[in-house]
Amino acid sequence: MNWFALSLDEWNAVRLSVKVATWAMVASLPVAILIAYLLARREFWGKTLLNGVVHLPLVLPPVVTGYLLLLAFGRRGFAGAFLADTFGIVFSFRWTGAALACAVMGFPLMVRAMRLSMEAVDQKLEEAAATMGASPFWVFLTVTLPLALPGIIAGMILSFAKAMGEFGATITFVSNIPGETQTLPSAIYTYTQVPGGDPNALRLTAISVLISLAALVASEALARRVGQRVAE
Amino acid sequence: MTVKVAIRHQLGSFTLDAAFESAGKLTALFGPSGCGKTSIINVIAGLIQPQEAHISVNEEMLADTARGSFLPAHRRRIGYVFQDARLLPHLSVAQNLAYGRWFTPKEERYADEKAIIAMLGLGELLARRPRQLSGGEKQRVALGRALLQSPRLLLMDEPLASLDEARKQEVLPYIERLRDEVNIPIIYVSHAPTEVARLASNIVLLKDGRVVKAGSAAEILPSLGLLGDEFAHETGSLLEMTVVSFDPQFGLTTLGKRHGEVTLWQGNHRSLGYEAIHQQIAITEGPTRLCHRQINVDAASFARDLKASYFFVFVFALVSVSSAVRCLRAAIFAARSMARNLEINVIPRDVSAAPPPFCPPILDVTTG
Repeated sequence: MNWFALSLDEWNAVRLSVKVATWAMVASLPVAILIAYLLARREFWGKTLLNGVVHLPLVLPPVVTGYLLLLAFGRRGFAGAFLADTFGIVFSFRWTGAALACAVMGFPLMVRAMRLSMEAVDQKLEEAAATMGASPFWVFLTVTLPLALPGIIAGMILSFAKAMGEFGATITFVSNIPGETQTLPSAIYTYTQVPGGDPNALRLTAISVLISLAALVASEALARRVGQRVAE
Repeated sequence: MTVKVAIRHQLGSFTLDAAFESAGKLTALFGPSGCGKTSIINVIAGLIQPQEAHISVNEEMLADTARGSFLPAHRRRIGYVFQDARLLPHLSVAQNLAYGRWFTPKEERYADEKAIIAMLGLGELLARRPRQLSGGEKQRVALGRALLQSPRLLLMDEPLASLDEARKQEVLPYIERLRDEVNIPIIYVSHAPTEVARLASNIVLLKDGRVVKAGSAAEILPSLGLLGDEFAHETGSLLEMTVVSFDPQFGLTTLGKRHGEVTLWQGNHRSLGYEAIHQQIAITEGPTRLCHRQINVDAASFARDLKASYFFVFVFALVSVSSAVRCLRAAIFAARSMARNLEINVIPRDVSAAPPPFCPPILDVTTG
């Protein structure tokens, strides 16, 4: 067989995975930054609870997370019905649902990396910026965020990599429809379930390894460059 | 220029209960570590919110907890020079300098960027990053950054404490220039008597969160012993004299005071008269102004004059000369406890020979 000629289904799975992972990462980024900031710098009632909820997908079985998503964002779920009726956004059995599942599963990793890097930013610098007239918003934008950039990038890459590998929650929530919700892991799983599917599974595995590796290497290089720039 | 501060703040077992008023150019908060100096200026800056505070600068209210008002730090326009510079590491020197200015409302920007950069000698540093600066350069940038935000008050928290002696001598003249040339009140935290003697117009003595004594520098320096025995040997006398003439060829500086008499006051009690004090002084002339060196008081001759077995050592006296007012300021600190509670009258040797209204008390000059 030709190692470099992907079948349509395989090609679709690769493309879909990259698309789903990118959207999952981009869409969760602002929320993750906000929550990481709240956890790192603010004191408020229910902080421990928020922290727990954010970390829940990390400790729950993925199938449970997927099932909960199905309950909430399925056509008949309270959030799903509301979003479908008001904004026309449908998650169930669509690639958007796969992106949502990946975003939720990668969220704790993203928030964690960002929170740690924000906590590592010297608060004395933030105080100095405040004495120079920067409001808390501007302090965050011009001091905390740039100095935490290596951690933000790390969080984004972790979320992307997690999304590339997400399987349990995705397949539970949006099933395994070729061309719509069949991501790389689902496709690999499918090929391992049919006789003679091993070469396809292997090929997709190789691609999966390559993409994840490339993302990690790129993030390392980027984080190092940024890190050098902000290091004192 | 009046700064009024009254603070009451309970922090665990530590109570900060301090009130002072200052009309001077540079008010030094002086006291042992842990006396609450830094807490006070953090409250003034708005970085700590105390239980009770009443703070005003030039009649402008910054905090009045009795009326429930407490301006947040970013709306106070108070320049703050930290001990550790705290330059933003991801920005260049030029961007650091521009940072505070950018947040200052246009109509309140009075700082002349070019003049400040020239005054602090920052021109060549603008393109650099903070990590490429020496400690002294960092503090100069921090000074410039604070000035460029057009502050209504400047706070300095031991800006020299983290620098070695050479770097201190590099930065000190800039702080003096700033004090003499920039028309904003400065509150300067320090626990170094020499710095305070050299820079302060007013001193607030602090101990255990309370004001022990406050007043002009000349009035307070002899009273450092009030802070406890560990400060007894650091009591000093402040001596201000007019620079009458300066001979650059021989490096001779002639100082005078009206009637040719200088009184060093050291605590209280016994009075002793002296014919003269030989002082070795090295004053070099900079491009625009006279600079400063240490005066070494000739201890041997001083002891001889005492005609007693008292042994005195004057550790050092820091001198600063401001060409603008042609005034020399010397602080003499006695090293040994012998010098405690001693009033010294220094009568210049040659009263008759010198034409009034001055008399040169200082001879024996070492050149560069």
